[in-house]
Amino acid sequence: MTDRPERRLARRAFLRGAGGFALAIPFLPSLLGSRVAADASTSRRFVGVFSLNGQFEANWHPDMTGASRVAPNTLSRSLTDIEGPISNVIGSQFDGLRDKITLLRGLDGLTETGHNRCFPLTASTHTEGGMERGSAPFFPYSVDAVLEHAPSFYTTPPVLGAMRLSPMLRRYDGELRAGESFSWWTEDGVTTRLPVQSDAEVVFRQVFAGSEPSDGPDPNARRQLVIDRVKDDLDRLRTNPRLGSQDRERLSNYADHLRDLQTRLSAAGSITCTGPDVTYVEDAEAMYTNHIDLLVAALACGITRVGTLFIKHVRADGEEAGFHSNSHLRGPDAERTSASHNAFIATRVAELLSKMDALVEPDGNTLLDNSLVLWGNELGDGGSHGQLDMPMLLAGSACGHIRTGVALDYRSEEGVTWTTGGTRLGRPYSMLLTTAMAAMGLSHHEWELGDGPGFGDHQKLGHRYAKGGGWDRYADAHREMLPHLWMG
Amino acid sequence: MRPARATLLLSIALTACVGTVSEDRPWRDGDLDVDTLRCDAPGAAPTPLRRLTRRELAHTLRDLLGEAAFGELSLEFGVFPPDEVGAGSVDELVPNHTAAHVEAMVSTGERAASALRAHPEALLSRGHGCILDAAPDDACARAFIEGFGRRVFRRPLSEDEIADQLAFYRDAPDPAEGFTRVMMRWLSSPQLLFHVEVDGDETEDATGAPALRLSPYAVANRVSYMLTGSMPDDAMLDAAARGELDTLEGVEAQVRRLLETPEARKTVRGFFEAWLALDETSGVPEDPALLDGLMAAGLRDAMLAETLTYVDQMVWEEGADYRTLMSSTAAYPEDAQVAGIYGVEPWRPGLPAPLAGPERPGLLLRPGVLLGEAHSTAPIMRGVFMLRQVLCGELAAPPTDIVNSRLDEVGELRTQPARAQIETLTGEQPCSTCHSRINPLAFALEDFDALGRHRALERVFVDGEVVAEHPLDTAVELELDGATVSVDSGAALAHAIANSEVGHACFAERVFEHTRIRRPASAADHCLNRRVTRAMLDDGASLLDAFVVNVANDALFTRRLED
Repeated sequence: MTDRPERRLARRAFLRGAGGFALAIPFLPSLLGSRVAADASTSRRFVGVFSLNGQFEANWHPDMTGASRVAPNTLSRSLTDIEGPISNVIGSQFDGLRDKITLLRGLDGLTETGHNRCFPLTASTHTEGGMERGSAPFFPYSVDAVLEHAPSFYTTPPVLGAMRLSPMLRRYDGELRAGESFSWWTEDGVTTRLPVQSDAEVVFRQVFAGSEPSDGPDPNARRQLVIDRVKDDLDRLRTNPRLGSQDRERLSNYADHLRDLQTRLSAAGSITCTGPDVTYVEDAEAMYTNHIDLLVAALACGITRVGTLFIKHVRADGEEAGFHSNSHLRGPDAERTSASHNAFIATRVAELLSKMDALVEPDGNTLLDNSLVLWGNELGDGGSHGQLDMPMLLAGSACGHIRTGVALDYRSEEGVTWTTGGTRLGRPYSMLLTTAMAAMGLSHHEWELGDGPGFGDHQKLGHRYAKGGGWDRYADAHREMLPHLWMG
Repeated sequence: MRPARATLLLSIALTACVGTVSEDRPWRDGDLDVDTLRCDAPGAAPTPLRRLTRRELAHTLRDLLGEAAFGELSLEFGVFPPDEVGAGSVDELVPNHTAAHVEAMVSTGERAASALRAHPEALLSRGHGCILDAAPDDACARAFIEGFGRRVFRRPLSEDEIADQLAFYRDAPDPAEGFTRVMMRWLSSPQLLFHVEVDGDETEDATGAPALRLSPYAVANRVSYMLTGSMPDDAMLDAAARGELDTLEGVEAQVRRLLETPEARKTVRGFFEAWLALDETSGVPEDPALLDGLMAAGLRDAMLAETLTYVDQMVWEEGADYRTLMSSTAAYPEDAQVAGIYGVEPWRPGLPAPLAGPERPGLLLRPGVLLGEAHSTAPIMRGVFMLRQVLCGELAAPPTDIVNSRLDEVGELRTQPARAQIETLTGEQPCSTCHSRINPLAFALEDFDALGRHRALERVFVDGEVVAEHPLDTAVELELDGATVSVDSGAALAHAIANSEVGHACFAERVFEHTRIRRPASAADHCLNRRVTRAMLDDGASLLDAFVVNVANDALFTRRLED
């Protein structure tokens, strides 16, 4: 542990968006009981939670004894029928949430091997091979970014299009490692890995904390004025004939973001809320609690409707506990080790879901009911380091569009095995993301952003799906929802 | 569930069965032709406009505002997103600003004004303290705009720019507000946030293409950011003002001066950390069977510390060249366990380095570099690392279905020697396309175990237990510099690479990438790397000299203009 002192920020801070405006409606249970103020947003929210290195299938999947066949190649079992823990990873932390979660099995990506960290939200692999986590995905749009940019999702400019959190962790050498992003967006031909925010205190200060109203100059007006002048500076530079066309495009991109910021500064003044109680400590559990509180608060009071959270196992001494090596191994010891690592992550996920479920919105649903939370991973089975049989937990029904309380197994009943002897293939993983976007109210016109129908590598790799063995039935399933999960 | 395939999976799942070889770098394929290293008229390199990275911007703000004032910005600047690391194009490594970048700089600029009021050292030391007075006079305001602005813009402001900034300052309702507005504007200005190279004289390069002979201030910026990751210091700006950066000799003097600074040393060390991918190194598992008398706690950190100490000593104390770096048996283990792995007594700073045995020459055979994945040496990952990082080979990842197909076809292999497993798995097309290049590098290193200990026998672990022991077969043939080379150990491989042209050329390319934060992309870029390579191969240039030549060369002075 370092000697960095614990710092506690103001409990009843004023919410401040990027513009620094003072706001006033309290929203947390600790401040207002369990009922959110009447004018808080009740629109649907999306949250993506990610961890690394896959799951041992024996640890993750529940016992499906007694499952019913609810659709072709679709088995379903009620989670409340399962005695004891749902699985080694989905343990007692989820007991109070069984009717709010869904476990999925048999969602596959026919990808190149490797840590395709872009996969969970793009259903796509990195262009420079699975190991190159920095290179862009073949399908360079992630679901969270699609939502952020969809006109039907945000009909008015949000304070934050998305809150992407990934705690800063301490490495072996004591240095802090910045968080990682799973999110991508492409605009004007330029693909960008969208940044994450890593420091709870900074996020708090940016979004929730504020200062007492002062008699000094209006900070919003000052920002607008300064940004106008910076845009003038950019315009002058852009006309310099010694710059190339790509150089000018980069400057234009910067100017566009300045204009967007001005728009958001104007829009932000109408939102009111108070922030959560944020404690900044170098303690793993408290650190994640801070991030979870921030995310829940932002979703609850309409700061944003999209969030992502990256969770890694952190040891008691604050150093991140990598378990990549273990993911390659097999056997009881390796399974136990993986289960203990993932139990840490599962506990954080359960904390997020429980807090979302504790907030009742004006329509009588909880924040979790009105949301879709997707806990995923960049790998399926860690051993093969590919994207077959992706371990997925969903939570929330997105206002009744997603079935909850069940485990669904989409693996083919016909023994479709592709080329893998040990993996019974199911359905394209991209169907989960199209279902998620439909649950958020998007039509396919808003998410078919690539060169053809479908989302993710389903576009590029359609020929693999059509290769036979029974999976060809999904080759053209570009816009289909996952059966029984999608409630319409 | 699939049968356990731990050792195989460590390798096969993470590497490539389909590869490409860059056509514009013929030496990469082992076909080095010395003639291709001559660059008589390479022309000027196009250098795309890019924003400052987070590291560059943090260093710049620190140097501009002073340590104390910069320390006040941790919350506001803290949200400026981190950048990618590794090799890639400008768009991949330093993509465009996002909303988060822009918001961070607006709030950072706002906070910088109050931070400078609380910690005005950067103003006071340059005679601009009066700008914080209740009513600064016109001379004070102009001197501040002109003097502090020179550091923000990293060049002198034109008279028009001074007038514009002064008018903006005076438009505010009071001087304090004017100061805040100017700081906010400066910290969001393209001149601060981008590497702008538009000043200089238009000319033609050696190919007749339009080019810009950069102003001395632009040259100062290039040199400073490449070596320190920050803005030019006063000495550099003054040298630019005196015209001393118009010549290669003047630039080289500044380069050697900067290389003595702590920031430049950090840049050099950071290069080796990135080149060796030390950040990706796995931990040591708590398994007595694997550890065989060692203690896992702190072992990895001690190994990495020894690796970096070796690098520091070679570069700064020994003045080593590439061959020496890659072949010296000097060891610097301050930790007793690591010393035991080398078979030497612990080293203490200031004392001569003990020498490891001949089986362990050079940087690549440090325990911190050889560290495997849990019980496995992760042989293919070692081979991929050598091919990609040390020999600049290009590889793609294999399709999952092909990997799984091969795993199913070969069946249970895990008690066999790693070499036999890998040869069975990868010996056929399409896998062999890349693995014919990867595997020899991997097999030669198999005389070092997963903890970097030299060994004569391979112990095979299954579920943490030793289930078999096999004699090693490290004899391989591989292509280096267009010839077939036979090696029979990690040491022989290290010596072969140490003396190879491709090894030197790849080192030059990696230095280029690290200092410029982009891959070489033009004939001029490749030509520069060839010159650095020749300097090391033919002229005995040290590692430090390689950094000097990488920065101080003719290409530094020009930029290709778009037709």
